[in-house]
Amino acid sequence: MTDWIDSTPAIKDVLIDDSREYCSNEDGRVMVMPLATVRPIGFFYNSAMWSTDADISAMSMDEFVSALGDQKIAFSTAENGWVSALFLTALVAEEDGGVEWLKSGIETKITDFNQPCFINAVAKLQNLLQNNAASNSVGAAYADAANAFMSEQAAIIANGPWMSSDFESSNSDKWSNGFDGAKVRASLFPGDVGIADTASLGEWWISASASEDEIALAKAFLEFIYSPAELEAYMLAEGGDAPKLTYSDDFKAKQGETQVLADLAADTTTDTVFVPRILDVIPASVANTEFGKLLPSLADGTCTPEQFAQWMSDKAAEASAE
Amino acid sequence: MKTAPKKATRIKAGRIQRANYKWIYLFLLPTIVIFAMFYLMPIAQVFVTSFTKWDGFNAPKFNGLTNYINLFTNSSFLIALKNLLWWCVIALTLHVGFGTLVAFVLYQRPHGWKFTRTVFMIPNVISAAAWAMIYKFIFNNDFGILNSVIRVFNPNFNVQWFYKSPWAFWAVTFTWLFYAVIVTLVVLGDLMNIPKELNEAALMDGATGWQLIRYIQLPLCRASIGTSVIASLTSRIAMYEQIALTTSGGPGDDTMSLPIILVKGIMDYRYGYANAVGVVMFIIGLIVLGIVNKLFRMDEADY
Repeated sequence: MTDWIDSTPAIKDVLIDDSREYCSNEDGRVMVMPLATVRPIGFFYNSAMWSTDADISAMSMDEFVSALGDQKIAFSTAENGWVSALFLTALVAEEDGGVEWLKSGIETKITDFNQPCFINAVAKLQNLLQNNAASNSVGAAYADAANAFMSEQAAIIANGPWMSSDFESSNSDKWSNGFDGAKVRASLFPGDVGIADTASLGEWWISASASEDEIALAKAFLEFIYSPAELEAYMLAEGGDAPKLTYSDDFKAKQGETQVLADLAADTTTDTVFVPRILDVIPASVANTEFGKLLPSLADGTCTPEQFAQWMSDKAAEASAE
Repeated sequence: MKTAPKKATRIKAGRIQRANYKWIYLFLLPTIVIFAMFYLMPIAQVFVTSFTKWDGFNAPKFNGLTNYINLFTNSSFLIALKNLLWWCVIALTLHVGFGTLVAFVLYQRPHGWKFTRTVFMIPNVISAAAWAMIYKFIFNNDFGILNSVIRVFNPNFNVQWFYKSPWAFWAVTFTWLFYAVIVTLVVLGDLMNIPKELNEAALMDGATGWQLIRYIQLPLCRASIGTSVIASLTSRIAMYEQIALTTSGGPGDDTMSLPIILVKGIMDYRYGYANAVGVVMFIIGLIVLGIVNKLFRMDEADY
């Protein structure tokens, strides 16, 4: 679809450069539709339980933890430890060399975790797990962490902008203990870190065995969903940012109606540091099974950060063995 | 005068019988095709591809014993084997023993025995995955019923059963230990098939209740107990949901099992390696089958 993209400025001009490069072969042929939008992940906080006048994304992680005090963060350790992994990603990104280390895993999965940036980040995660984790964090799946946040057992939860729909009044059946979705605010992580992998595959491709008619239909469909109106409708529903799209005034007005999406959009600037999720840059079995398995031991102190790093390295080596 | 034993002579099939052969083969054909397609070929493919490097998309590449060497030098695999051994010992003794005990109790037909049998069957209607989720609540440190009861006696008791060594192993064990209804039903069936005259004759000869059980009923339940042992041990080899949905093999590798290693191989697109785990599970299952068959003399008739 390379020629078609290059001859269709309406599409070519909105595609994210990193994504186009990732979706192309060595000879430059585009094999999968690149991304036009990116949904940077930050965290949500319940302003009724905790808030600060300072710009959170401009803080350092140490300043943020200090400002947090005794407030609780909803973590998860079951399944792939999703919420914990997001915080760990942000902690790694703030360490020296952390951003580069995370990005090094985009092409070839990371297998050596005995790096200062990772070990230091794990030490900080351990501190958060021991002092600021919601009471149900150990053994919690994502649903348990979300429940902790929406029942005011935790003031903070890390997740993507797609969680914004949970805070609409139409989903108030998920709330309890006086939780009010209207009080939820969002922020990118301290250090203006947004977790988003811009160098990743898009969601659409056209089969080589498709007929001419099918290819024409597919292209018409792609032109539709990559049109500015559709991209804006998608972002209003799911959150996110289209870095190469000029937003309409109508879109800006509507985005402002959803507070959390407006918060994330305001934090996303040209200075924002985008990093891939740590779960996406390590071997799949380590991400889906091994990472979450050892978090309880990290939380109760039976595993040190160094042991955690060595464990991850050993498991990644096994997963990558030829 | 002894005469030489007659040689068995093979009776030649008549014309009508030979004409029936095609119908026999025709009626056997669907079974053979289904067996070949859904049993034989997949098993053969697992065996063959266990000697290959295969990502599930491209053609497998032969790599000799590499997958097996990687497997047997994997510390998780050795821990999984150790766990399997312990679970088999527990299954053989406590799980089958408990099921057999319940069968013998129900055989006495105490008051409410039918209701008890029905209630005992209910856990088997619920899937293993659902039970794993229920047990996560039962073993929860904060509000689980187990710790709540223990705290009546020891208020300071705090154990995250599924997430702490060495408790996780036992917590996973408890998710299946007492659900022995298959054992109970199979053994109870055999007990009920014992001719009444045998029991009566033994009682008339002065046998006590225990002697009746020890010398009459237990030996006559040999095949059913052997079957239960096979079912229980093969369930331990294939046990996946109870571990995946609770501990995922953790903490560390405390509750690691072969199916978890197999699934991890699939997650990493190492289908050849995963199939090597499958071959090991298959061989262990065959060995278990052979040993139990021999021990319980399951090819011999009772009567």
